[in-house]
Amino acid sequence: MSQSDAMGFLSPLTEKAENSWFWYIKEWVCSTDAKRIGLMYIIFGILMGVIGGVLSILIRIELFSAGADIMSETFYATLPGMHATLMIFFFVIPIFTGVGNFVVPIQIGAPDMAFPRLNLAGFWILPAAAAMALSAYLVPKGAPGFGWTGYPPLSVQASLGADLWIAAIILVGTSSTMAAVNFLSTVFNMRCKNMTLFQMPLFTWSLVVTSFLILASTPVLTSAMMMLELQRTFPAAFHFFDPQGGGDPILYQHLFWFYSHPAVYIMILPGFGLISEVIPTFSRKPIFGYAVMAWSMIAIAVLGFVVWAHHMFTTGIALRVRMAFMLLTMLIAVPTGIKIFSWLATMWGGSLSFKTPMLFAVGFIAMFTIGGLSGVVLASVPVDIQLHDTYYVVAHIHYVLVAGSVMTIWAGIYYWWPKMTGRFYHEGLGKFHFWVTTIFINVTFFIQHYLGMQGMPRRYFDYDPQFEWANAISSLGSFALFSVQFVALGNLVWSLYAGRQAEANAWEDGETLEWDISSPPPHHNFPEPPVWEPVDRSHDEEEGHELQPQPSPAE
Amino acid sequence: MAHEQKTFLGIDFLYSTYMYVWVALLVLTVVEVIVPEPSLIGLSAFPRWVVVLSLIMLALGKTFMVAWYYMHLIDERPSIIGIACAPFIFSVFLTIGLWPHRAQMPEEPTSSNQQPAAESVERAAADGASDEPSSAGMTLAADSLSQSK
Amino acid sequence: MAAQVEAGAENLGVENGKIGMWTFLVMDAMTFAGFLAGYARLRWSPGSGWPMPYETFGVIGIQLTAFNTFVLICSSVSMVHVLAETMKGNLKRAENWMLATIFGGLFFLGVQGYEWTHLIMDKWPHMLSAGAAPPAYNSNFASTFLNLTGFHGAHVAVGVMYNVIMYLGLRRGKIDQDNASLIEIAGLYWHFVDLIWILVFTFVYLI
Repeated sequence: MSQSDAMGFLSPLTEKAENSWFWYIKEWVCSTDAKRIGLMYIIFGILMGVIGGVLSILIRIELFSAGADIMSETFYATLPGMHATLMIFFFVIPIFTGVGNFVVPIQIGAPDMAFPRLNLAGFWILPAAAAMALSAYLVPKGAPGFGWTGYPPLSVQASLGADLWIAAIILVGTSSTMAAVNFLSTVFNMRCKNMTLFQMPLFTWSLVVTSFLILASTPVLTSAMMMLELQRTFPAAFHFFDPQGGGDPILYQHLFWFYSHPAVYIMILPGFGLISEVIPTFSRKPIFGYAVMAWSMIAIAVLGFVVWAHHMFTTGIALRVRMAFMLLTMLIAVPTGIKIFSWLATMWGGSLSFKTPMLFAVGFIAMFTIGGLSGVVLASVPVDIQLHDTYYVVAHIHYVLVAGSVMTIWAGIYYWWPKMTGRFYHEGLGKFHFWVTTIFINVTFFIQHYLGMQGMPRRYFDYDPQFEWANAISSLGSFALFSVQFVALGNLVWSLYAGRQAEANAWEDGETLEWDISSPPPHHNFPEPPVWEPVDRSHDEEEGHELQPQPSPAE
Repeated sequence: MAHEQKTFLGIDFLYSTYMYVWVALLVLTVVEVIVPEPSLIGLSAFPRWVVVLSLIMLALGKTFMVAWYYMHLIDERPSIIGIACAPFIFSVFLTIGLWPHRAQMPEEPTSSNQQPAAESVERAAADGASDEPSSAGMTLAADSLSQSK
Repeated sequence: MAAQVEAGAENLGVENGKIGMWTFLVMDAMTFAGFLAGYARLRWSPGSGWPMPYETFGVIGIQLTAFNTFVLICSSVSMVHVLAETMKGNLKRAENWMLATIFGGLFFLGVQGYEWTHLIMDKWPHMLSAGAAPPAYNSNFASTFLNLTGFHGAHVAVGVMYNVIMYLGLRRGKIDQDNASLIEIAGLYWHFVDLIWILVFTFVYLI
């Protein structure tokens, strides 16, 4: 009994599962416990991340030197799109959903999500969708070679693989809207006593905002995909995107980017929220400007809906429209800047402790700023017309998504790993992982800014020999970056067997509700409904300069 | 539960109302059918903009009545009303954003000639656009659709 | 979607299921928004040569669909009656109203099926590759029509199934006064389908 207490929600529920691995795994597969579903999301996401990483390594091997090296052009053409699809739809978004599933119900003091079975169904759609997307490699003529954007007319003419890809995208959209409905219902309706909206931890806030983004934007992608699929299946009847039948290929781009620009915020806002949890804990200070942090996330989300056409500056939309979208895009730098300065102000005067999650958080702030700034560069119409579809854009998205999303994912996994499993990872290996990752992100992607400025186009199979040295550097960096991730995975697996036992408040300074319950949490999170002790979120002079941590609500 | 009781009362109140709403919806539907084809009741055709505008207003009015009375928004917390309004706002914005513009309008070159200082960015953009075909990596669409100067 | 998990101490004052349905409807409305915005763009592109709906459907066709709209609105009203009778505890009358609702949905689908058959066979044979499209005819008129009404029809079909499940629940005594919110949530979906039809009918058939 005491052993199962120590294992919390990981312990088997029935006698049968206690004695047999088969029944234990079946219990997980059919579990409606948000914590278990969250862990399954994370494991699935990491698996897909590895496959997506392999695809990116194939790209970098091919681009190591000019000319054809190890693969055919047609196979290469499938790689960038499938890499992006796997990384965006099957790695980053599910992992954040998973961390949210684990953390959000606990942070708001709820026993579970509002719709546990919907939660489970939403998760199990994902492996099916991933299988569909990947099986595109097995059908005649292989996976679609039109990139992750799937612009017509190329996507209309593509072979069978494209149908599988479209179906996978629609399924993923369904899955993430199911998760979003669940998060919103949970957070709006299941908070514990005193947990008003502006008492919620910022990670929970970020998932609320993200869920709204998913709800309002993903269906538009679904509608675009349905129209595309109709046109592919019944070419005689439907001509939505075919100019010869009176259609408009730009229409697809509008609908696609109406989803895919908010998707960027879907992929980064949970990271913002996560960093807003990590930094106060390791600075031993409350977050600076709590309300502003929440409102700036809302502002980013709202602005994120009205900037999509900056991906389409070269499609011939009116100059007036482009100017409007340029200004709106640049406005997004304002709330983002507010967040960055608030994080820095939280650290200012804090009693800092540079454990691995904190290192990832600080590294994220530094490098995300680079990514954000190159975003402002790309937002200006004249510059974008030069840089559109070059490696500069590749460098920008990877600074935002690798140095942004992936580093926050690692920060979150390291931060909550003791809570999830009850075991600490190896701190030295974690720090090694951080430093190698940070250095090689820069080695891999910084040089791509230069390549883009020189005019090397993205998604190309071959390039001018003058770019060879820079591509070689980038490729070498990516090999190191990819391989060091396995050190981290090994570290996490090692911790399950030999890691130090974690106490309830594993980092000693965690103030949110998840640090009040044992690590790992018991099956229904809280023995009895918790009561949140309201934190004074206003930041007057005395508190702003206080060096001592605020008393945790547990004490 | 206390909050459910409130909904009960709301329904009782609505019970008398929603038959009127039903009648109103039917009348508005008949009006909608007549507006684009007034010859049905012996009138001559309305101007096109009157037809479009009044049809949109009629549709929005009917939509509002269904949401307000039948979906019980009248009885709902402001937060639920907010959730219900969100897609309306987003879809209006989406429609405006997607609205086709007339690419061959003659006013654009003139405006950039008249105000050279204020429009320097615009000029730079236009110059960039005309350079497009020569720079690497431009999309096919950019080539075929960029403004001809 | 039974509201099996209780609301927390801080809540919006409604059941989880209702928030879930409303947020789902946000998502569904945005799917239609994508289709409708695409329709607007295709239709009002300069020189699209869009045919006037009246000329294609004919006055009789429009009036048939207007009658169909009438049926859908009536079934929406009967859905409100189902909820009201369930709340009062008159489960037998609620069952009958629910049958009327289901019948309204099925009738709507039947008329739409007839209309589709007629339009595709007689007006748009090119859609079945059974002939070339008429010259200078914008075939997106047919594409967007079938797309919008078809997607809406799928929603009606799902709604009919949802209502049948609710009807069986009423019949077998699983739904009564105490969990009438299940009917209310089903009603939200059904009214939403009606609401979308009002917009689709106006934009596709009338404007």
